[in-house]
Amino acid sequence: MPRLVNLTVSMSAETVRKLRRAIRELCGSRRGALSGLVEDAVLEALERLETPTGMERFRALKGDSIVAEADSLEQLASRLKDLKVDSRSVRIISSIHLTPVARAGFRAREA
Amino acid sequence: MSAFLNLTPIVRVVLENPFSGILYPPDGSVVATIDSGYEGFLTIPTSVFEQLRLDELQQSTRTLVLANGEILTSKGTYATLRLPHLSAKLDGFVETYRGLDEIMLGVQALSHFNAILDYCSRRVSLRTCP
Repeated sequence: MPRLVNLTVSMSAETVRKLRRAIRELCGSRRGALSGLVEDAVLEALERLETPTGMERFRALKGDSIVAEADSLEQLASRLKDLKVDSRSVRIISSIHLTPVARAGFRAREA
Repeated sequence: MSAFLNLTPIVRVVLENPFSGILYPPDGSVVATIDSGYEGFLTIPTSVFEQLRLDELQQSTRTLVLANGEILTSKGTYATLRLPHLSAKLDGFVETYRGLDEIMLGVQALSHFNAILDYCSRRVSLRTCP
């Protein structure tokens, strides 16, 4: 269990209202839900800030092990070929976090 | 080439599975709709996803929220988008879901460009970032 530290921050009343409503809808009255959501958001923001634009890297994973890594998919494909690794046997990920939820846009519609 | 089609901004693109070298379309290019409300990189119809053989690669799934608040699940993997008229090539997460019938370019792809939608002169301008 990591050591927890209290932090006092200021936000607009509107943001806090939205945050509390989202917590209520998503987590009910679970203790620590607000801190958990704020920490997740901060970690996501830090990851974004620590990955400068144009520095995206791609990795091929087998389980948790990195098989190959490159600056572009073309390079990654070439490395996998050199290693004689079938691209279908690895999971491709990016250094830029793929958000688990995204807005689909105004033209998207269900079948 | 980028332009308006019935006031909807479009751009011609070529899609590539970099692991198999398969292109879509095999010759020429195809129209993609620019959708600034879509937070992802690229969505494509399932038939195109399969023609590119992206379905043979390991997939990630995620939730897409429609404009009316409904939720659906997409699946996808990483692939390459080319904009021939700009000699631009971008890698990103390409996803698909049941019922999608057009190629849509989202803000993750647009973030690499200076994009101007000029409705007064009916011109769409895309330039790669300096």
